[in-house]
Amino acid sequence: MTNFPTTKYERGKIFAKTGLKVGKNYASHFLKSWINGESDRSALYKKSAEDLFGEFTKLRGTALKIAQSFSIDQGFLPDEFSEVMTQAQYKVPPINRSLVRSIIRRELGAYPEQLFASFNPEAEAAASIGQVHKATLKDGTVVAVKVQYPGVRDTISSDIALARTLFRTIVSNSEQIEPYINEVKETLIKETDYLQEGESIDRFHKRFNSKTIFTPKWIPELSTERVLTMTYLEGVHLNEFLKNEPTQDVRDQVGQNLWDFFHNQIRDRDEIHADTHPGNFLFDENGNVGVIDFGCVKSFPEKFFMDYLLLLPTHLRQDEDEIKELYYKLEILKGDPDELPKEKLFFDFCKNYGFTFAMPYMEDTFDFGDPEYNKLIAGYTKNAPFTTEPRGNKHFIYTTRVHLGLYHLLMKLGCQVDTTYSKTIIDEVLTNQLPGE
Amino acid sequence: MKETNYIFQGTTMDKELTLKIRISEAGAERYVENPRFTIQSLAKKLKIDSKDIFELFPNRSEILNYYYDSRILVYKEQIQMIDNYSDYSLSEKLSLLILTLFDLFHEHREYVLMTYKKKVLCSMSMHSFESQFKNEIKQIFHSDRNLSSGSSLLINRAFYYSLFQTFNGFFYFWSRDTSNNYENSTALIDKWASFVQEVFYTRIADKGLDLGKFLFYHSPLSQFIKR
Ligand SMILES: Nc1ncnc2c1ncn2[C@@H]1O[C@H](COP(=O)(O)OP(=O)(O)OP(=O)(O)O)[C@@H](O)[C@H]1O
Ligand SMILES: [Mg+2]
Repeated sequence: MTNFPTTKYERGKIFAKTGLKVGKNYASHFLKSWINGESDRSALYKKSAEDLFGEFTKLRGTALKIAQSFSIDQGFLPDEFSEVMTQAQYKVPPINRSLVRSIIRRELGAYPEQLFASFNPEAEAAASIGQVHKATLKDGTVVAVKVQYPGVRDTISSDIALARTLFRTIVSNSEQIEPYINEVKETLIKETDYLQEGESIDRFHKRFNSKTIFTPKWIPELSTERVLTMTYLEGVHLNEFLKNEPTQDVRDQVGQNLWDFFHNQIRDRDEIHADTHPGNFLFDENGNVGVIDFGCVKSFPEKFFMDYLLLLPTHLRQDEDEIKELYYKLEILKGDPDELPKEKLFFDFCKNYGFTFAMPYMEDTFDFGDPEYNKLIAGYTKNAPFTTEPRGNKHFIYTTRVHLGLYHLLMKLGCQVDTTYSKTIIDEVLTNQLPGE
Repeated sequence: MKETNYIFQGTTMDKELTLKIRISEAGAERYVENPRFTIQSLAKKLKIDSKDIFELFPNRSEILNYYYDSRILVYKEQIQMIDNYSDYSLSEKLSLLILTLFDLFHEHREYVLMTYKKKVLCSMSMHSFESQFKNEIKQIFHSDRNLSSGSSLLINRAFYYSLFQTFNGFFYFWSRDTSNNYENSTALIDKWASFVQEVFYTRIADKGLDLGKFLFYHSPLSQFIKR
């Protein structure tokens, strides 16, 4: 059996249908009813976002992580807020050379010049709670050494407390964000333990390192809770990759690799690399993909995960009752849309968004470069009705981060992917059958 | 027996100096075991003749004092081995000095906690650790080309003294720091050093100089600081 509808849709019609709803009527209707004529609400948000941003930069890495979890992907914070928050990534102060030296000495027992054949005291890249240095081991292996800013873990709790207060000023029904905040806090604390990350690197390396997907190898002898050493991956970040104007073939190849990597993770029903943002992938000119940053890997409760995957075929089938039922299960709906206008707005939005989101799974290939599709997705993000109210099971924070993050990458790449294999995987996972069994 | 000689790997210190430092470190270790240790027992521990010790130190107390002086020497030795030390920024140099001293103190933490206050802070005349510390600070500031013009006027004896007091503040913090590998102390020192740099590299100092001077010379603080 297959969970995905087999009828073919006419793509043009679908774009027109969903696009219209989201792009115009829906948005204006929503804005009118929700804002009650408060036309400068957005300016207000911008202002508080900027104030918040000021406060948040004091929080260094914590802010960045919270921003990443709450802003674009979760969608319940105002657009303006995410806009300001994404700048945070480039504003964290570096760990200076003396500090790096001293931290390495304390963590690994000797100064870098004694431990490594060479160690570049200038950071290669900034990480959210530390930074990455390129070094060479005495046996010639080129490694990346991630050094954590001292005292990060201790400050996370107080940072979260502050963040919570700050969020309360812009999020209505603030008690509703508690579970999300706690989820983020737990994840953050976990991310400060580089030994756990090292172990994740190890597991993912065994699972996925191949010709097309390459992942670092952990070097446990030179790793502690605060310093993480792994093999260095060659390749460039997405923006740089695109600057070199790769051919369509190469871009398709990259996209396919990313797409398949994502679905292979689902297939194992094991851990998932839950931090799909451009900084965590490296690309080479042959279309191979390097995956880094295993600080945030997640495994989801089976029931949630199945329901989440079920969203894809269910949206495509467009059976409203079925969709509604699934939404209740996933805590997306809080009341009957036929009775409560607010729920109705919400339902309509999600239904359309969900459909658009599932579109790549409709046929056997999908073109993420389609500008109309890009516009559609952007429209949803912009006009999300749940700006000041969190919705959905807390695990959504990460599933959407991963899934939507993937779409954003693919759209940026402008690539076409073959989705047959991925549909088989989802089908088989949903029918509780591993491929090949 | 703890091995602390890693510090001398690849250094160019002369033999006598190395021996002197080794004696003072061993002395610090003996002190923790027994504050009334004899030179003879120390010599035995070092497998040298007590005569060799007396040639270098007039008495036990000098050995124990020299532990502190020699930390600065070890630090100086280390900065010589760092590539590009000369283009380190003010905050990098300041944190390097302080972090290195604490790294070294950590090697003999017990001894340091037992004696720092008594030996360095409450000695009858200024302990040479203090004067050497100030000297290093002086060099750091004098060799820095990025200081704003006004800020250089802030750098004077009282300023060195206040930085030494800051160091003592860090010492107090460090002595009570239970965080993993003193990461809280490290963070504090880093934040402080960045702050100092900010003040000295920007025109804040220029602007605030008049105000600062006025407050400084007209407050009871100045009387206290001139001791
Ligand atoms: N093994 C590696 N090889 C090459 N570059 C690496 C490697 N690991 C990290 N980097 C570089 O360092 C950057 C930050 O590393 P990483 O993503 O692991 O940090 P992070 O703290 O988890 O950051 P964030 O949470 O913001 O993604 C990467 O974007 C990449 O440029
Ligand atoms: Mg990353």
